Amino acid sequence: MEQAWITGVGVVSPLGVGMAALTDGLRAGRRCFGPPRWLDPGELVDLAVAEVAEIPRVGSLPGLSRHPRATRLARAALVEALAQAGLDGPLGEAGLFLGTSTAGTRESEGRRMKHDADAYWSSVPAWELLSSPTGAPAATLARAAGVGGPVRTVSTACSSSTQALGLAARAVRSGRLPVAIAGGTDSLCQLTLAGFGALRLLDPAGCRPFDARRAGTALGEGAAMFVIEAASRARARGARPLAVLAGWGAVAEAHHPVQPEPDGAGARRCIEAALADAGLPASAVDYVNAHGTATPANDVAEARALHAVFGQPPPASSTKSQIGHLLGAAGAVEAAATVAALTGGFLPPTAGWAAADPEIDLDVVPTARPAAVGVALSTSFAFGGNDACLVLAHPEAL
Amino acid sequence: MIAGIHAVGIACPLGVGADAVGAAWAAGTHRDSDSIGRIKLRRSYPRHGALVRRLDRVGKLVAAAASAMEAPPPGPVSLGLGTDLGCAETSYEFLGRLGTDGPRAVQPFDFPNLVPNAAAGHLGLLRGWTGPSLTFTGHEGGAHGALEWGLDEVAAGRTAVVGAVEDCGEVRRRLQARGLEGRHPAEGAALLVLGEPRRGEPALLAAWSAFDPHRRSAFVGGADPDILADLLERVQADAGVVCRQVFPSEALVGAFAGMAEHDIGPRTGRWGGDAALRAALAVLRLSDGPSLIVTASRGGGVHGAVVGRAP
Repeated sequence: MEQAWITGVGVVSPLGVGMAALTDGLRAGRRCFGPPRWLDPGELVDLAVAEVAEIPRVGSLPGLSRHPRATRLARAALVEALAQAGLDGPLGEAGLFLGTSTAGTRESEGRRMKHDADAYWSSVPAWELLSSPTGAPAATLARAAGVGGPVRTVSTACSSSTQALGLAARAVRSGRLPVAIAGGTDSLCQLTLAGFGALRLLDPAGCRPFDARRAGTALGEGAAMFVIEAASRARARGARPLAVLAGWGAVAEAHHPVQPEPDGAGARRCIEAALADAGLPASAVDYVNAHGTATPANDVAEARALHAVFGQPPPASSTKSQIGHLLGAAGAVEAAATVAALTGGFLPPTAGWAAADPEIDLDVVPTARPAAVGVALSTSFAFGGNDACLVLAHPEAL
Repeated sequence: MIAGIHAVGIACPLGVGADAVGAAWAAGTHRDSDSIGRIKLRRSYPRHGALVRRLDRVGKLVAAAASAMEAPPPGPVSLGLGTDLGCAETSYEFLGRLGTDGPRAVQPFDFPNLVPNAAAGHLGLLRGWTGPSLTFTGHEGGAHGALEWGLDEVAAGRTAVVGAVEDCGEVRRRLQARGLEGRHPAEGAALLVLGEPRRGEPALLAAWSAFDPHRRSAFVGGADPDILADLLERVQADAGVVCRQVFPSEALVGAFAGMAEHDIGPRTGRWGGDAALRAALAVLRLSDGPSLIVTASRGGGVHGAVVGRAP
């Protein structure tokens, strides 16, 4: 079986544009929460979100006259990933796998909320209708990159882009695709804010994972895109791996529409499946980039799962403490943070953590610290118990 | 890499259940509605009354398709579901309510129906399926994504339920009025249980997809002939068969000279993931030989699958 090499990563997050900005922000432990700038919160008082300040203009996109924010976020990340991988020109032999949960909802929801049905349908422009479906961003990105292989959109809420990366790695490792582009994107929108708000899952103080004071998550936005290549192909063209996507695990908990299994049993099965796929023992893992949503139930269930798998778990931190919950993009951006840890030799922090929860016995890395990370696990445990995990490794660790 | 098709579940305007739909198809029946009418699920899922009550139409459709088939038992079953618009109707209604009444009018149980994978998540809950659960939303290609993934899952030694679902409410009717929906919009759901192939039994013999980066909308304009020809050659070579019948998507009707074409549009109606329904119908017509399931999707994807008998 081929190794799936990551030869390029691009990211746009609330910490800034590019892997360098992400890495610097992780090392500094900067938290990005504030009131939403793009809307009048109205009844959504005391809301904390993590926004992307500015999306770089990286050339025009094909197809429609306008594109949603989620697509533009991903496009900027894609440009960086392809440049880092040294890939230029059409990618006829490539596939593309994108995870997203809301796609163009931000652009379309305002008009719908303002108007009754007749007024909405008489005023909505075609580009808005065509770019709203979750399948639209992937098609636009595939056109931009000249992709000729399968183009897939995965929408499994908060694990969407973890699943997309897993699918891409599987296609490359099995030899069905020599190269794949994969990642995730989501922009902030009122639909998700209202939904999480109705479930009382938003913390006005921002996201405080694993902290005894945590009172819910905070939503963010962003995108990360990866170039995943068969090792043989990458070697042949002289490309070097940033990391190896060594394993993917996915399970469904079939337990509750929004609550995790309290004992973390589903999460445990998922982690074990990812390790088995990578052919690695739990003892090989040096660091866990945890899902860590900061909701009371999720963090405890995840900690229990880590203890069940590892006994004494390796250091585990949540990037959501800095950039919030990016929903469909969370898995990809957190995988990018994990790659930053592997290549940069440090453990990203759970920024702002200050109060230990007696039910969570983890080394949560309150501030970034130097460490040689050979193998890392990135976890995503979504609504409805849709769990997915990735095993990422330093190229010299395998 | 092939997968046996051990059972089929269908809910479409021709009926609910493979037997009912197969009989209606064989009799040349045409649908008289875009809906399958009232869906009753309580007897099928007696332990999940509260959840069944809160399902949106998409959730009810796929639950109806699942209840109509001989499904695998609870456990580590993999579930792959394709959809085009997914929860768009539910989100459309929700946003209208949010605009009128504000966030405080939103109920906690609204949100689980507002993610595209809600139908798959709820079906997994109803059935107790604990394997991987993926929802593919690539326009008309979502169902093909599920079929391709199902082959992988069977190759990995797992049982997989794959298919697609779509409802048909105000959003799709309004889209049709704007010229952005096909000619025969209808609701439907179709599921296939994939597992170890058994000699001579129905099987998914191959599935693959390509993308045309130069075409803005393959749904409107068909597919690039060269890309389509390459794809058909590949999937038939992978399957080891030559197909003489084809179930095309709407954009490809009339594109297959010399083959028996089954245009499902006027009969069952069409929806974004109807490739799963076409695959299920191909299982019901195996006596006519293997079938191609071919789809040109709005985004630019061209997708092919072969349904036949396992060698």
